[in-house]
Amino acid sequence: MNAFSLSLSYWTRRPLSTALNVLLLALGIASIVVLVLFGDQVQDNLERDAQGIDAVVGATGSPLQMVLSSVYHLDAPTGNISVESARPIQSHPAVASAIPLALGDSYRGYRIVGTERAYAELYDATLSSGEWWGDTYTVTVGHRVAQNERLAVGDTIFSTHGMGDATAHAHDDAPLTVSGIMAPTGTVIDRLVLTSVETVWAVHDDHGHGGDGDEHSRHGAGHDHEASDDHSHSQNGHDHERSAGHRADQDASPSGAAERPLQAAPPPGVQSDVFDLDREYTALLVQYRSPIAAATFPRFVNNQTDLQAAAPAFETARLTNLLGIGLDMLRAFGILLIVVAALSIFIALYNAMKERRYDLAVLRTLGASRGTLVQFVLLEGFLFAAAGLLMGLGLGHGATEVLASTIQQANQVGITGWLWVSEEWGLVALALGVGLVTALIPAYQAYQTDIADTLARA
Amino acid sequence: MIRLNDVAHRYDEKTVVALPDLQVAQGEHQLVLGLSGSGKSTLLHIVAGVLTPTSGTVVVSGRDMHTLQGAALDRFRGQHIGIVFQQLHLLDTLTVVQNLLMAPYMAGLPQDRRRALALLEQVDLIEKADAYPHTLSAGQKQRAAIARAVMNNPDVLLADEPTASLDDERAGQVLDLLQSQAKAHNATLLIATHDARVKERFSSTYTLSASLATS
Repeated sequence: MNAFSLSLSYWTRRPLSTALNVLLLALGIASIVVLVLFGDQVQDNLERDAQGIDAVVGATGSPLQMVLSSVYHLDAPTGNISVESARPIQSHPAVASAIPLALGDSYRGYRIVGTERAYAELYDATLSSGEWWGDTYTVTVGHRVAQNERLAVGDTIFSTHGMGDATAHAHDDAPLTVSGIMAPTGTVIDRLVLTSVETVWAVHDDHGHGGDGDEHSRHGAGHDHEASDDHSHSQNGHDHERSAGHRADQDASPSGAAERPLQAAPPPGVQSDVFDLDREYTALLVQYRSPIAAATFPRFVNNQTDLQAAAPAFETARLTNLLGIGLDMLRAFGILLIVVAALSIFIALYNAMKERRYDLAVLRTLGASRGTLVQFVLLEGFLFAAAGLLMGLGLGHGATEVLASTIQQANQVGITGWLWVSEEWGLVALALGVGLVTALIPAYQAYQTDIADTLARA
Repeated sequence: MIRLNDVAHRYDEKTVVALPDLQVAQGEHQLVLGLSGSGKSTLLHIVAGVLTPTSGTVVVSGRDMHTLQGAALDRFRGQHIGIVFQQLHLLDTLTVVQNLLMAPYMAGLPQDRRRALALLEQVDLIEKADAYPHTLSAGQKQRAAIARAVMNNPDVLLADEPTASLDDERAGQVLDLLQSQAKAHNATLLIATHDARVKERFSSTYTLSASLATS
């Protein structure tokens, strides 16, 4: 016999009420675990993904939407801006760097971002295989994209217009070649497909949206005999299957790719005149030369241009404030559950001590001291707490993992349940504290038990 | 051995129990007779060290009980005194053999499971070793309680109304068992009862009269 088996044996006396008490405590703890895990990871991700981005400049609209779409790649863009209108931003004295982003296409739900190498450098991204995108129609894919879609260097992928549902318009005639795969960074870049801005433009041009004659003629005149070939394909009733096969075959051979005039993309940051015609960015990620610019630069953009500027830090703070109210409510609910569980455990122990008066007296006659009884009761409280804690942590982490993998957005952001967050130590302390507090009065009852009196009343 | 000299206990202003002097040598069997309220329980509680008398000297197994206090007294009780109650009293949530092992555990002695099983064999309960008390009859419970009381080889074995809830046959078996176990362990046996059936078995009786119980 030992103290554990003795305490546990009392659980078997009232298995249902014991199970209920443990469950109650576990639910309280689990709900807080879920909140803490989500909150912590969302906060971390928000901060990590916005690192080095002082401001986002893009088309006017909701600043929050602009930040969500161009920093976190979670929302639709507010619109596009012309390359010309981006120039004053890029040359503004307060701006150290302005990385252009051209959005609009995706690959199986992963956004394709036309940008510059500086964008990858922003997240300290490195390659795990292959090389960075270079030629038009070459892409470098993020770690999660490569992993989930089993992509390897040299694979061909097809982009889809919009954000990835199966019904979306597919650019089947514009295959993209994977030139490299990035090592995991734990940032938004893991779930992106990066390429040059020119590739995004070219993919759109190649396809020829809905017979826009003006665009096509300019496109045809500007360059690319092959693209005009595609043009004719699309006019022949959008024969995607045939043209896709045709292009994929060409692409498989290096010479096929080399034939493309567009492969001679200009170095990042330098825009050749050829590409300037009616070219658009979706947003610019701006890094200031000095923090002082935060006061003046957004005002300049918002007042002097048709564009808008927004600070990711400010917008996400606004977002988390809005969410915070809901989270606080949930947290309060979790704490309420724990308080109710504590009361319930206290009542269970308190009544148990009354019921066990005679047992306690017998233990004393067998040689147990008052202190021994106190230890037993405290241990019992701790066992309740520990069982509730373990079950709660298990439930909380499991539920977070299940929730995160069911909610597509959370899954994309990379939230996991298999993570230990430092706030959870607070929960451990809280649960053990509950065990101690609930057992204190019952322990005192046990301490006070008068053996002779109890035996005499039996 | 047990020795009481000038022992009296004052419960409150009105109730004072004075006990006649008593001396029981090691290994002797002593019957304490008396009606309810005559001070039987007071006597047993004082000998067991769960009640400290207001005055007088109590010596159990060569030890003056006044010199022991708190945890030391509890440990002394656990190691040297075995107690059998009128109402069982086994712990419901533990099996019979676990109940027996509680005696050495609470007394801070090594838990010898083989000895527990051997004792259950002696009291004819070996097949109930892993059963829970609620599945036992009153007589079986009392036998299990006796086995637990002698688990630690006590110097003194106290029994409070051990036959009260039993029929003649069972009562006889329980008394046989108490006496044989006390003999086997050379323990001083003190049985308190008002059961007349017990009386004929004992040569030496110590009678508490009701008049002593109040002042």
